[in-house]
Amino acid sequence: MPATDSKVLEVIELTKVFRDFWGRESVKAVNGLNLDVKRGEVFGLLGPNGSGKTTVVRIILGLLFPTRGAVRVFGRGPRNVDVKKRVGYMPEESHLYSYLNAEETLDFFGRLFRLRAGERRRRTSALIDMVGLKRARKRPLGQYSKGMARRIGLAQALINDPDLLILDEPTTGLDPIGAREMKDLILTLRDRGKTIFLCSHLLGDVEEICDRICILYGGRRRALGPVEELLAAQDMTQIRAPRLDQSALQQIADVVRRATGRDDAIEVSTPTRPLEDYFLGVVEEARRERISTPGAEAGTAAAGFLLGPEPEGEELLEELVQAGQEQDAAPEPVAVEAASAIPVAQDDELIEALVRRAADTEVEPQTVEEPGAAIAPETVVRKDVIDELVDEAHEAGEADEDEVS
Amino acid sequence: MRTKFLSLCRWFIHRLPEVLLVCFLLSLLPLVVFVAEEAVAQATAAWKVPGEYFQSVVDDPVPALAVVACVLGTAVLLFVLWRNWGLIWAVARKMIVEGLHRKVVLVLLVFFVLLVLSLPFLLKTEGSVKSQVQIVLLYSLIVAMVLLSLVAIFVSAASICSEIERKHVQITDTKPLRRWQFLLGKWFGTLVMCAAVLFVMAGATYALVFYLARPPDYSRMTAREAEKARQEYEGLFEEILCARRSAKSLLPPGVDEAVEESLRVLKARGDLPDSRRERKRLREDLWRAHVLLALTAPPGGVVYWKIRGLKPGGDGALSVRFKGYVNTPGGRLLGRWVVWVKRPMKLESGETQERLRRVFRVVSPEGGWHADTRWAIAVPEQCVGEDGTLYLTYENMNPDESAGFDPELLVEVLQEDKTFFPNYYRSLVVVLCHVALLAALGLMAGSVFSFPVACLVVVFFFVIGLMGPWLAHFIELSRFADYTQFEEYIWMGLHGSLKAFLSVMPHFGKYNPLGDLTDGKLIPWSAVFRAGAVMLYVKGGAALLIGMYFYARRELARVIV
Ligand SMILES: Nc1ncnc2c1ncn2[C@@H]1O[C@H](COP(=O)(O)OP(=O)(O)OP(=O)(O)O)[C@@H](O)[C@H]1O
Ligand SMILES: [Mg+2]
Repeated sequence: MPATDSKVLEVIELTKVFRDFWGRESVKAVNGLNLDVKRGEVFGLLGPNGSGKTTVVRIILGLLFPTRGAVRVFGRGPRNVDVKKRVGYMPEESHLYSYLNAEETLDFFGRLFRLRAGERRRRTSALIDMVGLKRARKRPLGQYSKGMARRIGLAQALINDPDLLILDEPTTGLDPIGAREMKDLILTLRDRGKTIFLCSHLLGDVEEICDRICILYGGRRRALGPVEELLAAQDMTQIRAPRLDQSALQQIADVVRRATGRDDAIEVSTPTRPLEDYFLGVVEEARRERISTPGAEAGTAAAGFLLGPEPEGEELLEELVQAGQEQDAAPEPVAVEAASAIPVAQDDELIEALVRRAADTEVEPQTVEEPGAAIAPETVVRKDVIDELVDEAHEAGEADEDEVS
Repeated sequence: MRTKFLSLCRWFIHRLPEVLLVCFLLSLLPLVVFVAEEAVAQATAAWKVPGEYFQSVVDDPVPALAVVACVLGTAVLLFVLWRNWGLIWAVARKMIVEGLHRKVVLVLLVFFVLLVLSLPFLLKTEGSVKSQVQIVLLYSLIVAMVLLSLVAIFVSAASICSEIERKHVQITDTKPLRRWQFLLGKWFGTLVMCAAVLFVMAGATYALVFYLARPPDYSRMTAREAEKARQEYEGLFEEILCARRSAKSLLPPGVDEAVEESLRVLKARGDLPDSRRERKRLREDLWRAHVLLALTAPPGGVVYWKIRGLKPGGDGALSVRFKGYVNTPGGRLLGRWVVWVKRPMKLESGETQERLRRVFRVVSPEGGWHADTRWAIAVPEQCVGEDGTLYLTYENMNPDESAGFDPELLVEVLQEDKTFFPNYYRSLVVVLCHVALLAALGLMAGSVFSFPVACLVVVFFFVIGLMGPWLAHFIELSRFADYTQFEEYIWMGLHGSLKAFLSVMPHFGKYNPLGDLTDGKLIPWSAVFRAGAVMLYVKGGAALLIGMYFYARRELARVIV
């Protein structure tokens, strides 16, 4: 059925009203929402806290029932068992059995898909390797940290090699490497023709991986479309040129000011603005229109008591801050590798560099027995090597600091 | 070597659910064998005299219906389990793992061991092996049953509630698992877990009982002591560690006719009340009076009983149990029991006719039998007629006082029939049916209500189950003579609905086999089938279906506060 298959997910006039004990309407979490998700795309659902993202996801999964409207997954109702066979879901928080360990958990979910024992074992170990929890696989999940549990949550969602992967805030709680891997994984899966539906607050991530997005506010759709299109600002022109000297720039400025004929050396293109600006713009507009939301509204500036009663206090604070900065400045970073010395903004780059190095040094490729087993081999990164490198970096940094002080 | 052992241990622990499942299936093996045996026996009986067999089924259709319900229910259950085995076992397995991790099984076994081991300190039996065996048997089985009942109902309710509350279901429900499969899996898991624990406990009890009932060491005794010990030892196997068929006397014949006669007399005298209600009550009172009359022997008079359903052709002893009353407190029954047998007799005319003849009698001992006390007399088994009927009379030889018998208790005859083990096994099967019903009730409560409420509901079920018979009795009693017509209607409505409610609720007393087991009474297959049909398939099935209905319609991600 390619016709229905091309629309993996349809949300039609979906409304969800939560009622209180007496049947009175207490929250309208979703309000007349229309969405289509096509096969092979990464779809992002954005919105402020409490705008109804998770509610939409739960309705798509059949955990909540729509008050009005309908949801079709692969052209059928969400509670159809054949539909569920093709869906993977990673919840907002990992609701896993705390007394099972990683292997038992994945084995249990594998059984629910009626996988054979051998297949279950293969997928379980491949997934545990993939999410980097090989060493912790025998520990009960109750002892896992939040990020570790999230990783098992991801592994669990992939056990059936789903055609539609629903991720509720996939990168929260993950460390930068994990978040990077998650994004790579999403793109890999998309390239294999899978569909991904995700909710997120991390606009950078969304901008990077999503093909289309929808922004919700108060349960209503405020924007829907391909990311580039939404971010295209039609009333501006961006000029990109090789490095020019001042006079050339002046000349160009003159030319533009006069807005006459075009110079071939100037490349004219549609510029994009960051998703963050766009998102804030949409939400701001919604607020200006005084649309009601059951979720979080705009916060005020820092609460009064936090600002301190007397100016003396402020001064004191400033003094302390300055002293701290001076102290910080004292041990000048010596080694470039020292993790502590790298500005925060560059964390990602460092990690990527490390990852690249790890991938280079470790020639032996990870063999995955089954090409069908959820993950394409190229995304598999040797965790232990990274850990080692990071440790090295840390040790180097610490050692240097010791020397200075 | 050590690591090998450790890894073996780990493998075993990892496979414990499967081990429990195998134990469960093995423990059901005797059931299959025994049921097959019984089926063959019934089939041959039906084959020999089809007409009579059919007639007996028509006369009392309940056992046959129970068998049909059990067969149908088992077929449906097995079919459903077979078709959905992978999923159901996945859920059940996880439930068992949870039970093992949460130490439910361990705590159960520890409690059991503590309670049973403390028994010798709690009781000061005066050394009689018989009473010791009886108490150990009854007590440890009751402990096992109560513990398992509690676990079955609370663990199942709590497991559903906590899975919803901790949002585990928000993942499991997105897997291709239907919600009824989830519930059925939980039920099956609880059952397997409880069955495994039950059969461990029952095995321990069996071992303990047969350790207590070991043959005495005669070598160190004097001849008299040895004789006493031997008698006691044999008595143990005749009275407790055995399975005696129990047959109760029918109500005395002729009561209905006597009632009609009295009514006719009253009518002729014009003393019959006008209102229909009054007449009905009068008829009831008369009936009761005539039953009492028929069961009372005036000085020199006789009470007559007919006891059916015994097995002909034995050559052992029957035990006839009775309990009599006299008017003076602390009085005694002076009289004799006479057993009659139908024998063909040549009449003067030359033809033969069946006539009852006295063949055996037991005279009351010196000073008589105490009234209000249960007595047993031994009667030779040959006295049972070809058709399995025993005719008995009590002749009152007390010149001053009449002797009466309780119409509720009646006279009971015990006949040695089967060996102890199958009987023990059958009573365990009935206990397991209890457990299955309770697990279903717990699941129903858990899938309809959220946590604290579900627990309350479960406690309610439990209390009703324990007090059901008393409640029913009180409801029966709660009737005053001077109700007006209107009050009577209200009473009838309330009475009817309460009775209906109670009959739908679980009853722990009604099908409890442990009393009979420790009394050495046969627990017939019909009782097992009835327990299975009523508790497992009708009530348990209904509870599960109700639970499934509500659970399937529930918004699992909805937080109820
Ligand atoms: N079970 C419920 N009963 C009542 N109201 C609910 C329920 N679940 C969610 N809501 C309300 O519905 C609205 C949308 O909630 P939802 O969880 O979908 O938000 P969200 O967009 O996922 O927020 P976040 O970004 O914080 O995850 C909120 O106002 C919330 O309070
Ligand atoms: Mg959310």
